[in-house]
Amino acid sequence: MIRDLYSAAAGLLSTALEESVVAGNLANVSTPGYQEQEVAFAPFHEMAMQANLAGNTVSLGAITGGAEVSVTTSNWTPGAMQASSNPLAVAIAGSGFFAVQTARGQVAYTRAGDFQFNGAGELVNADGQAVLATTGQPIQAASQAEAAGATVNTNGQVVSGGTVLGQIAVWNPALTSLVSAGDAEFTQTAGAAAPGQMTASLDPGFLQGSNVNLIGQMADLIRLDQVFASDQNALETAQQTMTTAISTVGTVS
Amino acid sequence: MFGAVAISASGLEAQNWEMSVYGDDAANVDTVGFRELLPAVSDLPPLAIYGTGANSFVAVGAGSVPGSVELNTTQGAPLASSQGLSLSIDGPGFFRIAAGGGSVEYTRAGDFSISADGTVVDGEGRALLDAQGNFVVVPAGTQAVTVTPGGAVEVSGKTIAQLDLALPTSEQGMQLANGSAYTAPAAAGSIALDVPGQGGTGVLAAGALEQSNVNLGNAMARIMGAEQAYQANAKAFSVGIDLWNRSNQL
Repeated sequence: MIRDLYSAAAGLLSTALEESVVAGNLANVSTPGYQEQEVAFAPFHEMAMQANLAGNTVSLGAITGGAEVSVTTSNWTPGAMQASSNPLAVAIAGSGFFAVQTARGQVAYTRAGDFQFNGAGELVNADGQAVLATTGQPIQAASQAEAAGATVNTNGQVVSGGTVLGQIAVWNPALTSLVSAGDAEFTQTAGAAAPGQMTASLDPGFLQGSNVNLIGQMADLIRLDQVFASDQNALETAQQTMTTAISTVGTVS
Repeated sequence: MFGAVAISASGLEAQNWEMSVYGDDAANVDTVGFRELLPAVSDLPPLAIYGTGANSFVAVGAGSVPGSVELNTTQGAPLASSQGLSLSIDGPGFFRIAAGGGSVEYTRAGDFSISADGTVVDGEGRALLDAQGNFVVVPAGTQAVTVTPGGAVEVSGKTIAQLDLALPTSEQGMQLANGSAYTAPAAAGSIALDVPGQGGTGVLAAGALEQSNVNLGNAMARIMGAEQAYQANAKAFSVGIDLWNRSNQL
C-alpha cells in the first residue's frame, strides 16, 4: 500500500522533470543550431511477488515500483534551413559538426554556422569562438579588405578576392559522446574517442535553425499536464486507501 | 517543475528581447543608411547532469537568454536624391564624421548638406571628415559641389578635399550609436582608411542615398514568429504553475 504512494510519487517526479525538458525546448524554439532534448524513462527494478499458500511458495509474478527519467538525449534531426544575409553563414547538409575553440581552450562541436571575422581578423562564430579549419587552426584574414570581401563556398573554403584563406572543417564525433554545453554547442564526454574530419556538403548563405517541433512540444505540454493530474489522483487514492485501512480495518469495536 | 517555471520565464524574456530588436528594425525601415540587426537567442547550459550509466545523462537545459546580434551588411537599395549633397557607398566602407568631444563615428548615411558656415554636415549636423581628418568646408557662395566616384570633392572643377572610407577588420564588431552612426570599439579591430574604390571599399555615387536594408515584410514576419514563440513559452509557464498548484494541493 505504501508502495502505491511511492509509485505515484515517482510518476509525479518524472513528469515534472519531463515538463522542465519540454519548457527548455520551447524556450529555444528560435535558437539557431539548437537540438531538441528528449527524455527516456526506465522502470525501477522489478520485484518478485510471492505468496505462501499452505506451506507452498507460489510466484505471483513481478511488479515495479514506478519509473524514473533514465536519460536525456538530443534529437539530431537537422533543424530547418534559414536563409541568412551573412556572406559567411554556412549550414551542414547532412551529418557532421563544426568545431570551435571555447574560452577554456577546449573544443566544442556545433551545427550553428553563423561565422564572422572578429577584430583580430580571426573567423569566429556568433559567440566569438574561433572555428577550426582543416589544419586544426583558426582561419585568419590578412587585411580589412580580405575580411570585408570574404565568402564561403560549398566545400567550406573561405575565399576572398580569389585567395583561399582556409577551409572550415566538418567533424564526425560519435553522437552518443556529446553533451549539451549551451550556446547550441556540445562537448565530448571524458574518454570519448576524438573525432576525425569528414567530407560534407555545405550550404553557404544558410543557417540551421532550431529543430524544436513546436506543435509536438505543445502537445507534450498538454499531455504532461494531464498525466500529472492522473498521478496526483493516484497518489490521493493510495492515501485514502491507507487512511481507510488504518481507521476502519483497524477499529476494535 | 518549479525549474520549469523559471525555464519558461527565461524563454519569455529571450523572446521579448528578440521581438524588441525586430521592432527596432521595423521602426527604421525608412532610416537612410540603417542596417538591420538580427538577434539570435542562445540556449543556457544544462542545470544539472547526473549519470545513471556509462553514457547516459539526465540533463535539463536551463532555458534561453538573449544571445548575439548580427548586423545585416547587405547593401540597401539606392534612392535617387537631389537634396543637398547626397552620397552613397556602392560596396563596403563607412564615412567618417565628427561626433561630440573630438571622437569619430562611422556611418553609411550619406544625406549630407552644406551648413550656413559652409561645412559639409550629415543629417544630424555632424561634420564630414576628409582623408586628413579635417572638416570639409566649401568656399562662400558655392552653388554646386560635385563628388567623384573616387571621393574627390570638387567645386567649379577644382578639388577642395579628398574623402576616404573606413573599413574595420570586423564589421560585426561595430557598435550602433544613434540613428545610423556607429562607434568602433575594440571588437571592431583596427580600421583601414582608403580612397573610395581602393583597399576593398566601394566607390561613391553622388545623387543617391542608401536606403535602410530592412525589408518590412521580413521584419513583420519575424516579429510574428517571435510572438508565436513567446506564446508557446507563456503556455509552458502556465502549465508549470498548474503543476506547482497541484503539488501544493497534495
